[in-house]
Amino acid sequence: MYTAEINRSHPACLLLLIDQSTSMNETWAGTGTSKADQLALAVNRLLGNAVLLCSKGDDRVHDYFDVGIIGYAQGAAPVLHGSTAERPLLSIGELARNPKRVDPVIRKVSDGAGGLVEAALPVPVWVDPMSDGWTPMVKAVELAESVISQWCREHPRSFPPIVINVTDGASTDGDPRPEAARVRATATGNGETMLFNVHLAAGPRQQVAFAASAEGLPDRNAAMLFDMSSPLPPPMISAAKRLGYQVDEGARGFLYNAEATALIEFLDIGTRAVTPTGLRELTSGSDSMR
Amino acid sequence: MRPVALEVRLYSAQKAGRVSTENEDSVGGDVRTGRFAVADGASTSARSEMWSQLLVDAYVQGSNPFAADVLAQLRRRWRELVMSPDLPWFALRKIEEGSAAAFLGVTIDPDQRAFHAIMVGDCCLFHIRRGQLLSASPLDRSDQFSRFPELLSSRSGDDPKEPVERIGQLRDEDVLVLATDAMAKSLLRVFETHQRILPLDMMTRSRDDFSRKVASYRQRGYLDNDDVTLCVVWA
Repeated sequence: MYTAEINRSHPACLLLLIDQSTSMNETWAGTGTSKADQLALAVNRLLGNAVLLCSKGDDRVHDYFDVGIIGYAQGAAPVLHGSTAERPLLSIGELARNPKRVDPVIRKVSDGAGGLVEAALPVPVWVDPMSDGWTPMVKAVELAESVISQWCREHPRSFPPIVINVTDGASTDGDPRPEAARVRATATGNGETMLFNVHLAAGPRQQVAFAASAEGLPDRNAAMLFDMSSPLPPPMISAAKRLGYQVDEGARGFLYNAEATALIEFLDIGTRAVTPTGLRELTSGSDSMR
Repeated sequence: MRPVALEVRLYSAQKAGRVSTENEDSVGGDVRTGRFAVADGASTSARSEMWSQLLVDAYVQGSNPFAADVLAQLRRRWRELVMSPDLPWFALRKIEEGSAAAFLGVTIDPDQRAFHAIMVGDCCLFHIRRGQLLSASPLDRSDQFSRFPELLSSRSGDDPKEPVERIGQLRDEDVLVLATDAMAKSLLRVFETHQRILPLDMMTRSRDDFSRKVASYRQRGYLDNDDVTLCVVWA
Protein backbone atom coordinates (compact mmCIF):
# COMPACT_ATOMS: atom_id res chain seq x y z
CA MET A 1 0.00 0.00 0.00
CA TYR A 2 1.01 3.61 -0.63
CA THR A 3 3.56 2.53 -3.21
CA ALA A 4 1.86 3.44 -6.50
CA GLU A 5 3.94 5.29 -9.02
CA ILE A 6 2.64 8.83 -9.46
CA ASN A 7 2.81 9.77 -13.10
CA ARG A 8 0.85 11.63 -15.72
CA SER A 9 -1.45 8.67 -16.34
CA HIS A 10 -1.97 8.12 -12.63
CA PRO A 11 -1.83 11.48 -10.87
CA ALA A 12 -2.09 12.02 -7.13
CA CYS A 13 -4.74 14.15 -5.44
CA LEU A 14 -4.36 16.81 -2.78
CA LEU A 15 -7.46 18.37 -1.25
CA LEU A 16 -7.25 21.11 1.37
CA LEU A 17 -10.13 22.04 3.67
CA ILE A 18 -9.73 25.59 4.94
CA ASP A 19 -11.57 27.10 7.85
CA GLN A 20 -12.68 30.63 6.86
CA SER A 21 -14.65 31.41 10.02
CA THR A 22 -14.61 34.88 11.61
CA SER A 23 -12.12 33.83 14.27
CA MET A 24 -9.51 33.27 11.55
CA ASN A 25 -9.26 37.06 11.51
CA GLU A 26 -7.57 36.98 14.93
CA THR A 27 -3.85 37.56 15.16
CA TRP A 28 -1.85 34.35 15.09
CA ALA A 29 0.51 33.99 18.00
CA GLY A 30 3.92 35.36 17.18
CA THR A 31 3.22 36.29 13.55
CA GLY A 32 1.78 39.80 13.83
CA THR A 33 -0.77 38.90 11.15
CA SER A 34 -4.06 37.06 11.17
CA LYS A 35 -4.47 33.31 10.95
CA ALA A 36 -6.34 33.80 7.68
CA ASP A 37 -3.44 35.82 6.23
CA GLN A 38 -0.85 33.26 7.29
CA LEU A 39 -2.93 30.35 6.06
CA ALA A 40 -3.45 31.96 2.64
CA LEU A 41 0.31 32.60 2.46
CA ALA A 42 1.11 29.01 3.38
CA VAL A 43 -1.42 27.57 0.92
CA ASN A 44 -0.26 29.77 -1.96
CA ARG A 45 3.32 28.81 -1.20
CA LEU A 46 2.40 25.12 -1.11
CA LEU A 47 0.61 25.35 -4.44
CA GLY A 48 3.43 27.38 -5.99
CA ASN A 49 5.98 24.79 -4.88
CA ALA A 50 3.81 21.97 -6.22
CA VAL A 51 3.66 23.71 -9.60
CA LEU A 52 7.43 24.21 -9.63
CA LEU A 53 7.94 20.54 -8.83
CA CYS A 54 5.97 19.67 -11.96
CA SER A 55 7.47 22.40 -14.16
CA LYS A 56 10.34 21.81 -16.56
CA GLY A 57 11.44 25.43 -16.92
CA ASP A 58 9.48 26.24 -20.08
CA ASP A 59 5.76 26.20 -20.80
CA ARG A 60 5.45 22.54 -19.77
CA VAL A 61 3.84 21.52 -16.48
CA HIS A 62 3.43 17.79 -16.05
CA ASP A 63 0.10 16.86 -14.51
CA TYR A 64 1.25 14.79 -11.56
CA PHE A 65 -1.36 16.20 -9.17
CA ASP A 66 -5.00 17.15 -9.04
CA VAL A 67 -5.59 19.85 -6.47
CA GLY A 68 -8.63 21.33 -4.77
CA ILE A 69 -9.48 23.62 -1.87
CA ILE A 70 -12.76 23.60 0.02
CA GLY A 71 -13.38 26.68 2.14
CA TYR A 72 -15.88 26.55 4.98
CA ALA A 73 -17.60 29.43 6.78
CA GLN A 74 -20.86 30.28 5.03
CA GLY A 75 -21.41 26.65 4.16
CA ALA A 76 -18.68 24.74 2.33
CA ALA A 77 -17.62 25.24 -1.29
CA PRO A 78 -14.60 25.00 -3.61
CA VAL A 79 -12.57 28.19 -3.28
CA LEU A 80 -9.53 27.46 -5.42
CA HIS A 81 -9.41 30.03 -8.19
CA GLY A 82 -10.68 28.40 -11.38
CA SER A 83 -12.49 25.55 -9.64
CA THR A 84 -16.27 25.26 -9.49
CA ALA A 85 -18.83 23.12 -7.69
CA GLU A 86 -18.93 20.95 -10.82
CA ARG A 87 -15.12 20.82 -11.12
CA PRO A 88 -13.78 21.11 -7.57
CA LEU A 89 -10.38 19.68 -8.53
CA LEU A 90 -7.94 21.16 -11.05
CA SER A 91 -4.91 19.55 -12.59
CA ILE A 92 -1.63 21.12 -11.52
CA GLY A 93 -1.19 22.37 -15.11
CA GLU A 94 -4.53 24.20 -15.02
CA LEU A 95 -3.59 25.62 -11.65
CA ALA A 96 -0.23 26.81 -12.97
CA ARG A 97 -1.74 28.57 -15.96
CA ASN A 98 -4.59 30.19 -14.14
CA PRO A 99 -3.62 31.85 -10.85
CA LYS A 100 -5.91 34.54 -9.52
CA ARG A 101 -3.01 36.96 -9.98
CA VAL A 102 0.77 36.98 -9.99
CA ASP A 103 2.35 39.42 -7.54
CA PRO A 104 5.87 40.68 -8.23
CA VAL A 105 8.02 40.22 -5.13
CA ILE A 106 11.49 41.77 -5.04
CA ARG A 107 14.16 39.25 -4.17
CA LYS A 108 17.88 38.85 -4.65
CA VAL A 109 18.59 36.43 -7.47
CA SER A 110 21.66 35.21 -9.33
CA ASP A 111 22.94 37.51 -12.07
CA GLY A 112 24.37 34.50 -13.89
CA ALA A 113 27.95 35.62 -13.30
CA GLY A 114 28.48 34.86 -9.63
CA GLY A 115 26.72 37.88 -8.18
CA LEU A 116 23.27 38.77 -6.90
CA VAL A 117 20.88 41.36 -8.25
CA GLU A 118 17.46 42.48 -7.11
CA ALA A 119 14.72 41.22 -9.36
CA ALA A 120 10.96 40.99 -9.27
CA LEU A 121 10.10 37.31 -8.85
CA PRO A 122 6.59 36.36 -9.90
CA VAL A 123 4.63 34.99 -6.92
CA PRO A 124 1.26 33.47 -7.82
CA VAL A 125 -1.86 33.76 -5.68
CA TRP A 126 -4.78 31.35 -5.88
CA VAL A 127 -6.50 32.03 -2.58
CA ASP A 128 -6.92 35.27 -0.64
CA PRO A 129 -7.50 35.42 3.12
CA MET A 130 -11.15 35.12 4.17
CA SER A 131 -12.70 35.12 7.61
CA ASP A 132 -16.44 35.51 7.79
CA GLY A 133 -18.79 32.94 9.22
CA TRP A 134 -19.01 29.83 11.39
CA THR A 135 -17.08 26.56 11.28
CA PRO A 136 -19.32 24.08 9.43
CA MET A 137 -16.75 21.30 9.47
CA VAL A 138 -19.31 18.54 8.97
CA LYS A 139 -20.41 20.13 5.70
CA ALA A 140 -16.79 20.57 4.60
CA VAL A 141 -15.81 16.98 5.33
CA GLU A 142 -19.02 15.75 3.74
CA LEU A 143 -18.20 17.67 0.55
CA ALA A 144 -14.64 16.34 0.68
CA GLU A 145 -15.98 12.80 0.83
CA SER A 146 -18.09 13.35 -2.26
CA VAL A 147 -15.18 14.94 -4.19
CA ILE A 148 -12.68 12.30 -3.13
CA SER A 149 -14.90 9.28 -3.67
CA GLN A 150 -15.55 10.37 -7.25
CA TRP A 151 -11.83 10.98 -7.81
CA CYS A 152 -11.02 7.51 -6.44
CA ARG A 153 -13.54 5.93 -8.80
CA GLU A 154 -11.89 7.72 -11.72
CA HIS A 155 -8.33 6.89 -10.58
CA PRO A 156 -8.42 3.34 -9.23
CA ARG A 157 -4.69 2.78 -9.82
CA SER A 158 -3.47 6.09 -8.39
CA PHE A 159 -1.71 6.83 -5.13
CA PRO A 160 -4.53 7.48 -2.60
CA PRO A 161 -5.68 11.08 -2.04
CA ILE A 162 -4.34 13.27 0.74
CA VAL A 163 -6.86 15.53 2.46
CA ILE A 164 -5.62 18.19 4.88
CA ASN A 165 -8.09 20.04 7.07
CA VAL A 166 -6.86 23.31 8.60
CA THR A 167 -9.01 24.93 11.29
CA ASP A 168 -8.70 27.22 14.29
CA GLY A 169 -11.75 26.10 16.18
CA ALA A 170 -14.41 23.56 16.86
CA SER A 171 -17.05 22.41 14.43
CA THR A 172 -20.25 24.42 14.68
CA ASP A 173 -22.48 22.04 12.75
CA GLY A 174 -21.99 18.87 14.73
CA ASP A 175 -19.48 16.08 15.18
CA PRO A 176 -17.58 15.54 11.91
CA ARG A 177 -16.08 12.18 12.96
CA PRO A 178 -18.57 10.00 11.03
CA GLU A 179 -17.95 12.05 7.85
CA ALA A 180 -14.20 11.88 8.49
CA ALA A 181 -14.42 8.10 8.79
CA ARG A 182 -16.18 8.01 5.43
CA VAL A 183 -13.42 10.12 3.86
CA ARG A 184 -10.78 7.74 5.26
CA ALA A 185 -12.75 4.78 3.96
CA THR A 186 -12.55 6.01 0.36
CA ALA A 187 -9.68 4.33 -1.40
CA THR A 188 -7.88 3.61 -4.60
CA GLY A 189 -6.41 0.19 -5.27
CA ASN A 190 -3.27 1.47 -3.60
CA GLY A 191 -4.68 2.35 -0.18
CA GLU A 192 -7.15 4.40 1.77
CA THR A 193 -7.39 8.17 1.62
CA MET A 194 -5.29 9.94 4.22
CA LEU A 195 -7.05 12.65 6.20
CA PHE A 196 -4.86 14.94 8.26
CA ASN A 197 -5.90 17.72 10.61
CA VAL A 198 -4.17 20.90 11.68
CA HIS A 199 -5.49 23.17 14.42
CA LEU A 200 -4.06 26.67 14.57
CA ALA A 201 -3.11 28.12 17.96
CA ALA A 202 -5.19 31.02 19.27
CA GLY A 203 -2.35 32.15 21.51
CA PRO A 204 0.93 30.88 22.92
CA ARG A 205 -0.06 27.36 23.90
CA GLN A 206 1.56 23.95 24.01
CA GLN A 207 1.77 22.53 20.50
CA VAL A 208 0.93 18.86 19.98
CA ALA A 209 2.46 17.34 16.85
CA PHE A 210 1.92 13.87 15.38
CA ALA A 211 0.43 12.32 18.51
CA ALA A 212 0.13 8.54 18.56
CA SER A 213 -2.68 8.47 21.14
CA ALA A 214 -5.41 10.78 22.39
CA GLU A 215 -4.09 10.48 25.92
CA GLY A 216 -2.97 13.80 27.34
CA LEU A 217 -4.53 15.92 24.60
CA PRO A 218 -5.56 19.33 26.00
CA ASP A 219 -9.32 19.27 25.30
CA ARG A 220 -12.26 17.51 23.63
CA ASN A 221 -11.77 19.38 20.36
CA ALA A 222 -8.20 18.09 20.18
CA ALA A 223 -9.44 14.56 20.83
CA MET A 224 -12.03 14.94 18.11
CA LEU A 225 -9.50 16.12 15.52
CA PHE A 226 -7.15 13.33 16.60
CA ASP A 227 -9.93 10.77 16.05
CA MET A 228 -10.53 12.18 12.59
CA SER A 229 -6.87 11.85 11.55
CA SER A 230 -5.22 9.02 9.64
CA PRO A 231 -1.99 7.39 10.77
CA LEU A 232 1.08 8.67 8.95
CA PRO A 233 2.42 6.31 6.28
CA PRO A 234 6.12 5.43 6.61
CA PRO A 235 7.44 7.97 4.06
CA MET A 236 5.68 10.73 5.94
CA ILE A 237 7.04 9.55 9.28
CA SER A 238 10.53 9.79 7.79
CA ALA A 239 9.82 13.27 6.41
CA ALA A 240 8.57 14.46 9.82
CA LYS A 241 11.59 12.98 11.59
CA ARG A 242 13.92 14.69 9.15
CA LEU A 243 12.35 18.00 10.17
CA GLY A 244 13.13 17.21 13.81
CA TYR A 245 9.71 16.07 15.06
CA GLN A 246 9.48 13.30 17.62
CA VAL A 247 7.29 10.78 15.81
CA ASP A 248 6.31 7.49 17.42
CA GLU A 249 4.86 4.33 15.92
CA GLY A 250 1.19 4.89 15.10
CA ALA A 251 1.57 8.67 14.94
CA ARG A 252 -1.26 10.44 13.20
CA GLY A 253 -1.30 13.32 10.76
CA PHE A 254 -2.47 15.69 13.45
CA LEU A 255 -1.19 19.02 14.69
CA TYR A 256 -2.84 20.93 17.55
CA ASN A 257 -2.18 24.52 18.65
CA ALA A 258 0.12 24.76 15.67
CA GLU A 259 2.54 27.62 15.26
CA ALA A 260 2.99 29.26 11.86
CA THR A 261 6.21 27.44 10.99
CA ALA A 262 4.72 24.11 12.02
CA LEU A 263 1.79 24.65 9.65
CA ILE A 264 4.17 25.29 6.76
CA GLU A 265 6.23 22.23 7.66
CA PHE A 266 3.13 20.10 8.01
CA LEU A 267 1.88 21.09 4.56
CA ASP A 268 5.35 20.42 3.21
CA ILE A 269 5.46 16.97 4.80
CA GLY A 270 1.98 16.28 3.46
CA THR A 271 3.04 16.78 -0.12
CA ARG A 272 6.54 15.38 0.30
CA ALA A 273 5.08 12.23 1.81
CA VAL A 274 4.34 10.83 -1.58
CA THR A 275 7.74 11.63 -3.05
CA PRO A 276 10.05 8.85 -1.83
CA THR A 277 7.92 6.00 -3.08
CA GLY A 278 5.53 7.74 -5.32
CA LEU A 279 6.88 10.27 -7.74
CA ARG A 280 8.78 7.84 -9.88
CA GLU A 281 8.06 9.46 -13.19
CA LEU A 282 8.59 12.88 -11.75
CA THR A 283 11.86 11.85 -10.21
CA SER A 284 12.98 9.92 -13.27
CA GLY A 285 13.57 6.38 -12.22
CA SER A 286 12.55 4.23 -9.32
CA ASP A 287 15.14 5.52 -6.91
CA SER A 288 16.40 8.72 -8.33
CA MET A 289 15.65 12.38 -7.91
CA ARG A 290 16.70 12.84 -11.51
CA MET B 1 53.93 1.34 -29.25
CA ARG B 2 51.25 0.95 -31.92
CA PRO B 3 48.42 3.48 -31.50
CA VAL B 4 45.11 1.98 -30.58
CA ALA B 5 42.26 2.30 -33.11
CA LEU B 6 38.93 3.36 -31.69
CA GLU B 7 35.40 2.49 -32.63
CA VAL B 8 32.40 4.00 -30.86
CA ARG B 9 28.68 3.38 -30.69
CA LEU B 10 26.45 5.68 -28.75
CA TYR B 11 22.75 5.47 -28.08
CA SER B 12 20.21 7.03 -25.79
CA ALA B 13 16.55 6.20 -25.16
CA GLN B 14 13.95 8.08 -23.22
CA LYS B 15 11.83 6.60 -20.46
CA ALA B 16 9.03 4.32 -21.56
CA GLY B 17 5.88 6.35 -22.05
CA ARG B 18 7.71 9.55 -22.98
CA VAL B 19 8.72 11.11 -26.27
CA SER B 20 12.34 11.47 -27.35
CA THR B 21 12.38 15.25 -26.78
CA GLU B 22 11.80 14.51 -23.10
CA ASN B 23 15.05 12.57 -22.82
CA GLU B 24 17.24 14.47 -20.34
CA ASP B 25 20.35 12.36 -20.94
CA SER B 26 22.95 13.48 -23.45
CA VAL B 27 25.77 11.64 -25.14
CA GLY B 28 28.54 12.60 -27.53
CA GLY B 29 31.89 11.40 -28.81
CA ASP B 30 34.54 11.89 -31.45
CA VAL B 31 36.96 9.07 -32.34
CA ARG B 32 39.32 11.56 -34.02
CA THR B 33 39.92 13.46 -30.79
CA GLY B 34 39.27 10.49 -28.51
CA ARG B 35 36.82 12.46 -26.37
CA PHE B 36 33.55 10.96 -25.18
CA ALA B 37 30.95 12.08 -22.65
CA VAL B 38 27.57 11.29 -21.16
CA ALA B 39 25.41 13.43 -18.86
CA ASP B 40 22.16 12.83 -17.02
CA GLY B 41 20.05 15.93 -16.44
CA ALA B 42 18.16 16.13 -13.15
CA SER B 43 14.45 15.80 -13.90
CA THR B 44 13.47 18.00 -11.00
CA SER B 45 15.64 20.84 -12.27
CA ALA B 46 14.98 23.32 -15.07
CA ARG B 47 15.65 22.46 -18.72
CA SER B 48 18.06 19.74 -17.76
CA GLU B 49 18.14 18.29 -21.29
CA MET B 50 19.71 21.58 -22.36
CA TRP B 51 22.22 21.62 -19.52
CA SER B 52 23.32 18.00 -20.03
CA GLN B 53 23.77 18.65 -23.76
CA LEU B 54 25.89 21.76 -23.12
CA LEU B 55 28.17 19.83 -20.75
CA VAL B 56 28.63 16.95 -23.19
CA ASP B 57 29.23 19.20 -26.21
CA ALA B 58 31.75 21.31 -24.32
CA TYR B 59 33.72 18.25 -23.25
CA VAL B 60 33.69 16.54 -26.64
CA GLN B 61 34.84 19.79 -28.23
CA GLY B 62 37.87 19.90 -25.95
CA SER B 63 36.82 21.90 -22.86
CA ASN B 64 36.72 20.83 -19.25
CA PRO B 65 33.31 21.74 -17.77
CA PHE B 66 34.81 21.69 -14.28
CA ALA B 67 37.22 24.52 -15.10
CA ALA B 68 35.90 27.74 -13.54
CA ASP B 69 36.00 29.81 -16.73
CA VAL B 70 34.39 27.07 -18.85
CA LEU B 71 31.70 26.43 -16.26
CA ALA B 72 30.89 30.14 -15.98
CA GLN B 73 30.58 30.34 -19.76
CA LEU B 74 28.35 27.26 -19.91
CA ARG B 75 26.15 28.65 -17.19
CA ARG B 76 25.72 31.93 -19.06
CA ARG B 77 25.01 30.05 -22.27
CA TRP B 78 22.38 27.85 -20.59
CA ARG B 79 20.63 30.92 -19.24
CA GLU B 80 20.67 32.59 -22.65
CA LEU B 81 19.20 29.49 -24.25
CA VAL B 82 16.38 28.92 -21.77
CA MET B 83 15.32 32.50 -21.13
CA SER B 84 12.77 34.19 -23.32
CA PRO B 85 10.57 37.22 -22.70
CA ASP B 86 7.25 35.40 -22.96
CA LEU B 87 7.85 32.65 -20.40
CA PRO B 88 5.09 31.99 -17.85
CA TRP B 89 5.70 32.69 -14.16
CA PHE B 90 6.42 29.06 -13.29
CA ALA B 91 9.11 28.77 -15.97
CA LEU B 92 10.83 31.93 -14.74
CA ARG B 93 10.78 30.67 -11.16
CA LYS B 94 12.02 27.25 -12.19
CA ILE B 95 14.88 28.74 -14.19
CA GLU B 96 15.91 30.74 -11.11
CA GLU B 97 16.29 27.40 -9.31
CA GLY B 98 18.73 26.34 -12.04
CA SER B 99 19.60 23.05 -13.66
CA ALA B 100 21.85 20.17 -12.68
CA ALA B 101 23.32 17.02 -14.18
CA ALA B 102 25.57 14.08 -13.46
CA PHE B 103 28.48 14.03 -15.89
CA LEU B 104 31.23 11.75 -17.15
CA GLY B 105 33.87 12.62 -19.71
CA VAL B 106 36.63 10.33 -21.01
CA THR B 107 39.65 11.25 -23.12
CA ILE B 108 41.64 8.50 -24.80
CA ASP B 109 45.18 9.04 -26.00
CA PRO B 110 45.52 6.40 -28.76
CA ASP B 111 49.29 6.84 -29.00
CA GLN B 112 49.88 6.25 -25.32
CA ARG B 113 47.01 3.73 -25.11
CA ALA B 114 45.87 5.63 -22.05
CA PHE B 115 42.62 7.10 -20.89
CA HIS B 116 41.68 9.82 -18.43
CA ALA B 117 38.16 10.16 -17.02
CA ILE B 118 36.54 12.95 -15.06
CA MET B 119 33.13 12.60 -13.47
CA VAL B 120 30.57 13.75 -10.95
CA GLY B 121 27.47 11.90 -9.81
CA ASP B 122 26.43 8.46 -10.89
CA CYS B 123 27.26 8.32 -14.59
CA CYS B 124 29.69 5.41 -14.58
CA LEU B 125 32.73 4.31 -16.51
CA PHE B 126 33.39 0.58 -17.00
CA HIS B 127 36.70 -0.82 -18.20
CA ILE B 128 36.17 -4.28 -19.68
CA ARG B 129 38.84 -6.71 -20.88
CA ARG B 130 37.98 -10.04 -22.53
CA GLY B 131 34.52 -10.04 -21.02
CA GLN B 132 35.81 -9.31 -17.52
CA LEU B 133 35.08 -6.12 -15.59
CA LEU B 134 38.44 -4.58 -14.68
CA SER B 135 36.99 -1.50 -12.98
CA ALA B 136 33.84 0.54 -12.50
CA SER B 137 33.89 4.19 -11.40
CA PRO B 138 32.79 6.14 -9.49
CA LEU B 139 30.32 3.49 -8.27
CA ASP B 140 31.20 -0.17 -8.36
CA ARG B 141 28.17 -1.80 -6.73
CA SER B 142 24.54 -1.61 -7.77
CA ASP B 143 23.42 -0.77 -4.23
CA GLN B 144 25.49 2.43 -4.22
CA PHE B 145 23.05 4.33 -6.45
CA SER B 146 21.00 6.82 -4.45
CA ARG B 147 18.35 9.42 -5.05
CA PHE B 148 20.75 12.24 -4.34
CA PRO B 149 23.95 11.91 -6.35
CA GLU B 150 26.28 14.87 -6.58
CA LEU B 151 25.53 16.99 -9.63
CA LEU B 152 27.08 19.77 -11.63
CA SER B 153 24.81 22.79 -11.26
CA SER B 154 24.00 25.64 -13.62
CA ARG B 155 23.58 28.04 -10.71
CA SER B 156 26.37 30.54 -10.59
CA GLY B 157 26.48 30.53 -6.79
CA ASP B 158 27.02 26.76 -6.56
CA ASP B 159 30.66 25.74 -6.42
CA PRO B 160 31.25 22.64 -8.51
CA LYS B 161 31.94 19.49 -6.54
CA GLU B 162 35.47 18.17 -6.80
CA PRO B 163 35.27 15.75 -9.72
CA VAL B 164 36.39 12.14 -9.43
CA GLU B 165 39.27 11.38 -11.81
CA ARG B 166 40.46 8.02 -13.10
CA ILE B 167 43.27 6.98 -15.41
CA GLY B 168 43.99 3.66 -17.08
CA GLN B 169 45.82 1.82 -19.84
CA LEU B 170 44.12 0.20 -22.81
CA ARG B 171 45.03 -3.04 -24.57
CA ASP B 172 43.73 -4.21 -27.92
CA GLU B 173 40.08 -5.18 -27.73
CA ASP B 174 39.54 -3.47 -24.37
CA VAL B 175 36.15 -1.83 -24.05
CA LEU B 176 35.26 1.38 -22.23
CA VAL B 177 31.60 1.88 -21.42
CA LEU B 178 30.14 5.22 -20.39
CA ALA B 179 26.64 4.85 -19.00
CA THR B 180 24.07 6.97 -17.22
CA ASP B 181 22.73 5.60 -13.96
CA ALA B 182 20.00 3.18 -15.06
CA MET B 183 22.23 1.32 -17.48
CA ALA B 184 25.21 1.52 -15.12
CA LYS B 185 23.17 0.02 -12.31
CA SER B 186 21.91 -2.71 -14.60
CA LEU B 187 25.42 -3.56 -15.80
CA LEU B 188 26.61 -3.83 -12.21
CA ARG B 189 23.59 -5.83 -11.09
CA VAL B 190 24.01 -8.37 -13.88
CA PHE B 191 27.72 -8.61 -13.14
CA GLU B 192 27.08 -9.13 -9.42
CA THR B 193 24.49 -11.82 -10.08
CA HIS B 194 25.93 -13.66 -13.06
CA GLN B 195 29.59 -12.54 -13.19
CA ARG B 196 29.10 -11.54 -16.79
CA ILE B 197 28.75 -8.37 -18.82
CA LEU B 198 25.57 -7.56 -20.73
CA PRO B 199 26.03 -8.30 -24.47
CA LEU B 200 27.13 -4.78 -25.43
CA ASP B 201 28.05 -5.64 -29.00
CA MET B 202 24.69 -7.19 -29.76
CA MET B 203 22.88 -4.46 -27.89
CA THR B 204 24.49 -1.63 -29.88
CA ARG B 205 24.50 -3.09 -33.40
CA SER B 206 21.83 -0.62 -34.44
CA ARG B 207 19.40 1.88 -32.96
CA ASP B 208 16.63 -0.68 -33.34
CA ASP B 209 18.63 -3.33 -31.50
CA PHE B 210 19.32 -0.87 -28.69
CA SER B 211 15.64 0.12 -28.41
CA ARG B 212 14.53 -3.53 -28.46
CA LYS B 213 17.03 -4.56 -25.80
CA VAL B 214 16.16 -1.61 -23.56
CA ALA B 215 12.45 -2.43 -23.82
CA SER B 216 13.12 -6.09 -23.13
CA TYR B 217 15.36 -5.40 -20.10
CA ARG B 218 12.79 -3.00 -18.69
CA GLN B 219 10.04 -5.54 -19.11
CA ARG B 220 12.08 -8.23 -17.40
CA GLY B 221 12.97 -5.89 -14.54
CA TYR B 222 16.70 -5.72 -15.35
CA LEU B 223 16.56 -2.03 -16.13
CA ASP B 224 14.82 0.79 -14.25
CA ASN B 225 12.38 2.84 -16.28
CA ASP B 226 14.59 5.89 -16.69
CA ASP B 227 16.33 7.62 -19.57
CA VAL B 228 19.05 5.22 -20.69
CA THR B 229 22.31 6.18 -22.35
CA LEU B 230 25.26 4.10 -23.43
CA CYS B 231 28.52 5.05 -25.10
CA VAL B 232 30.67 2.00 -25.91
CA VAL B 233 34.24 2.55 -27.10
CA TRP B 234 36.19 -0.40 -28.49
CA ALA B 235 39.96 -0.24 -28.60
